[in-house]
Amino acid sequence: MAPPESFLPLTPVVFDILVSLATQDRHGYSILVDVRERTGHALRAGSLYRALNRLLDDGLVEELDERPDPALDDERRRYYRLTPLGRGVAVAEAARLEVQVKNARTARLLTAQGTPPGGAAGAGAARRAGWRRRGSNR
Amino acid sequence: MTRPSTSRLVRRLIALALRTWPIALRHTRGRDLGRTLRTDTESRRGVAAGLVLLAGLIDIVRAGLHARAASGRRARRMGGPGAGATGAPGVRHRARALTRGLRADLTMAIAAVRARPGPALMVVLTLACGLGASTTMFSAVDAVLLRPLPYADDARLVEITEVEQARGSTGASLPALEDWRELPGLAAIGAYAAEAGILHAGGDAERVDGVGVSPGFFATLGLPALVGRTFDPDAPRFDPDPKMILSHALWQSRFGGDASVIGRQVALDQRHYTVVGVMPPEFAYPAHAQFWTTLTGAMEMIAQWRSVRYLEVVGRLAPGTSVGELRASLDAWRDRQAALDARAYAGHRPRVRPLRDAIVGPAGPALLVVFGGVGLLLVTACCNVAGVRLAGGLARQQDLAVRAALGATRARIVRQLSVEGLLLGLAGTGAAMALARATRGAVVALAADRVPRLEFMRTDWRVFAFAAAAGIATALVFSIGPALSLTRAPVSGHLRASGSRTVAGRGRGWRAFALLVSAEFALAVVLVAGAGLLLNSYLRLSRVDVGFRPGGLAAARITVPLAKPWTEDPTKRRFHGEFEQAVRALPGIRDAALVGRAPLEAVRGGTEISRPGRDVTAVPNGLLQVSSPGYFRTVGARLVEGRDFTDADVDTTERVAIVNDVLARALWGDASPVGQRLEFGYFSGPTPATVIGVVHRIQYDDLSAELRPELYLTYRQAIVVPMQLVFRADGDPVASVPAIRAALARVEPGGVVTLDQVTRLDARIGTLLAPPRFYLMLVASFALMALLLAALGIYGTLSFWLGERRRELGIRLALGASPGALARRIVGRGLILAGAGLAAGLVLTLAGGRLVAHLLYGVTPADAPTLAGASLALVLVALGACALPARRAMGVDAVEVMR
Repeated sequence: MAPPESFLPLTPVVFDILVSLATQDRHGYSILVDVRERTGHALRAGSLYRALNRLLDDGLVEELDERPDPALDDERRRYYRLTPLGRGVAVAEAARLEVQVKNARTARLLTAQGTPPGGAAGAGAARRAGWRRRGSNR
Repeated sequence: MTRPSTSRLVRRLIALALRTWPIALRHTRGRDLGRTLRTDTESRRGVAAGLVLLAGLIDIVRAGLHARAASGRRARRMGGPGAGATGAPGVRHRARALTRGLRADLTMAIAAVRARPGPALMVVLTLACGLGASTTMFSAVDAVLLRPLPYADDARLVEITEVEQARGSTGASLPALEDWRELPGLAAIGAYAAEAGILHAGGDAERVDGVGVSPGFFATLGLPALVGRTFDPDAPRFDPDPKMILSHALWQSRFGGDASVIGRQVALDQRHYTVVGVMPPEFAYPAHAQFWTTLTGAMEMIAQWRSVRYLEVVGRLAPGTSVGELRASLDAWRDRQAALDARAYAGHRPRVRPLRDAIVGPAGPALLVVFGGVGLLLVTACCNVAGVRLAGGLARQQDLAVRAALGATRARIVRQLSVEGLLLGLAGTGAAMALARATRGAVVALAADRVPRLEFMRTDWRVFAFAAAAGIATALVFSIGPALSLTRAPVSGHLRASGSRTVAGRGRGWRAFALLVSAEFALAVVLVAGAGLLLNSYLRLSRVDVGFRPGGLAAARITVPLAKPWTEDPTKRRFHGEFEQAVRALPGIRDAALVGRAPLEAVRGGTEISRPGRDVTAVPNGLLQVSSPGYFRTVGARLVEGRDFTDADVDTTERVAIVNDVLARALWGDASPVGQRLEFGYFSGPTPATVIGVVHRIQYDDLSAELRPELYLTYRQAIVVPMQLVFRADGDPVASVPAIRAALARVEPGGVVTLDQVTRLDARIGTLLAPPRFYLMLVASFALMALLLAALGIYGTLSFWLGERRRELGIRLALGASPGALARRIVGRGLILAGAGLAAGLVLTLAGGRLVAHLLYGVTPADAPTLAGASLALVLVALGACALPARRAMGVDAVEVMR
């Protein structure tokens, strides 16, 4: 089995999915909602499933046979769980990002609170930048 | 997003988008992805759901392209680590290749159009016709039926009323309003009743018309005031300190748009109101209301009766309640009430419908029929264009074959032809927009006063979106069809046929043409027959026996104050008598009289009329009219029997009545009614009268209204209702209005009584004929265009066929066939196409007939003479279109062709 580090760096979408599955097993819609609520980015279903498929192929995520909360759900829904390898990869990516963020702080790109320079006006700019980043990364 | 049809559409769209995914991926993840996206979409409402779905679909396609690119790369790399890798280069490459390819297609398309501008121009003109007419009609439908009403969440507003079928009367009682307020299906409810008075403030005395409204009225509609405030929904129903809200128009015309009007006292007659607000100009409910007041307590006593149905009610559905559910609970309410009070509810049923339906009325369905007609025209145009494109394609088939032989795939060629079509489609869209913009004014002018909300017709982005969507859709239909048909045959055949014109595209081309032309004819038949039916119906309507002579005749509304002493009948009788005399004495006035409702005026409700005692032949919906002696003479109605009222028929003599022939027949059959006694429902209960005359019926309400039993009383023996002055003048009656107003001022100085709404009766007939004429003209113009297109189609097809067969014809000629026989062959071919289309069209017309039945008067949709006439017109057009190719066939020179 490949070491976790060989999967780095992850795309933001993949990382978001792994983080989402780190807390509990989820079905697709639940991942979608969770990522949206946590990050404010609209994760689209198409991207989600393409990424999920790669994660399944690479063994970072597995599909569940049992249903975590059968009372609540449509039984045809598929549930996904983080594998130990997937957890390892997520931890490795988080560590990598932490180093990068620390470097950014040292370079005074971020204040201690994490607010981007420019204050409130920066929120829109950050969102636009997010758009651009997501567009160009792929 | 929860309706089954929508959810099926969502499934389809997702399935379609998933087609871009590699098969393996689609099979493992597609189903779950679809479920997730559907959940996501269904968790939103309205536009948000659409946006989520759209973004989701685009993302699926993007992810699909990524996945394909990535899998290709992976296949090349064989198993490198790759969860973090992205597919940008591959996709960018693909996208760039696509753009380059499209640019090449576009260049070639422009070249192709330049090389043969004739067919291209033909296509654009045809599309401009079809799309232009469709776009204009769409903008009308959009204005009347689609554009939201100016009230918050307008789809949840409903009109509720109680209908009595026998009299055709509607309205709701105050107790019913109170009951409905408790219905769980309604979030809010309000009511209004007509209110009018003479306004003196800010200018000459003028009658103004508005409504008194219940406290919840404005809260139900949910549009705030422009200036000041609306009424407090929690205020008592009958306000001891009456308040008024002004319409924007009245505020401008009488108060100079001055905001300090708020808080001022305004008097209508002698009733005083405090102005609390001004509504914005778009607030027009009910239509033409000039003011809104709180309901006054004058009617408080009788308003408590369940049988006094004087209110119009508007409600707001509670969230999650449908009109059907509300209807069910209203029916249940009605049955409960009927058990308690059978008399008040006999024959009455509650009716609920969306407020928009109530506002638009019958114009809505009519407009949809016309829109359907224009759709047929668009399809006809599409068929025609497809024919032109097919012919052009067949002429270029060798060119296409060469490209195929050089390695162009079928998809590539279809794409190129589609780009060409798209280019033409866009040009057609542009022309259509221009046409829609140019015809908008004419359409509005034709019928804006009779088709509600038509004045909101715009050529804005919504209309443009429709034109573009229709243009692109038609372009694709008329391009892809022929392109697929052209590229179906193997390449080698066309190359081998090179040089010889006899083999290329023989049977196949003909079959496609035949289908297209027959379809065009079928659609043209439907449109021509439809136009014929409307014309027939219009002619009948315009020749209706109205029972009076409209030339030089006019009616004007007299308004007396709603205050003492004008509430007393003797005062009103004295004034009306003097005024009538003064008008009759004016120079240029031939005759004048008074009547409650002038001819062709709208009528609501009815009165029960019977022979005295228990009478089974009683009519429930009689029209009770109060008139002055000389009314029949003035309007030119025919007194069939007996005598008119005279000045000697006064309140101290026996009450006399004049009946129309419909009522006479209903009550007494063929026997003479003169001298007979009858009873009619009146304020004080059943009231007797003696018949002194029979008059030929006069048409009230609409031209198409059924003949009603009418009962006339003289105003000297009846309660004096609000009256109309009818007068006949030498020349234009409207020119006499200043003199009549001067006479009014002499009889009653000081603007106490007003005279307004002067209408010429011939103009009123014209107004009533306007909507049917509007629909007729629209459908007739579509029919003409369709006919032209069908003729062009058959002409083009035969010309093309002739071009393909010149050699064959030459051989036939050389072998001894006569030119006449060749011409007959051509005409025969044409007539077969036309005949097939005709048969199909007639079947379509008969099948779709009931859709237009509600637009017709005096004609059934299957009217044989109309259908025969339409068929004849089509056959003549077909013959005409065949004539030119036939002549050309006769002129074929055998020697020249064979050479």
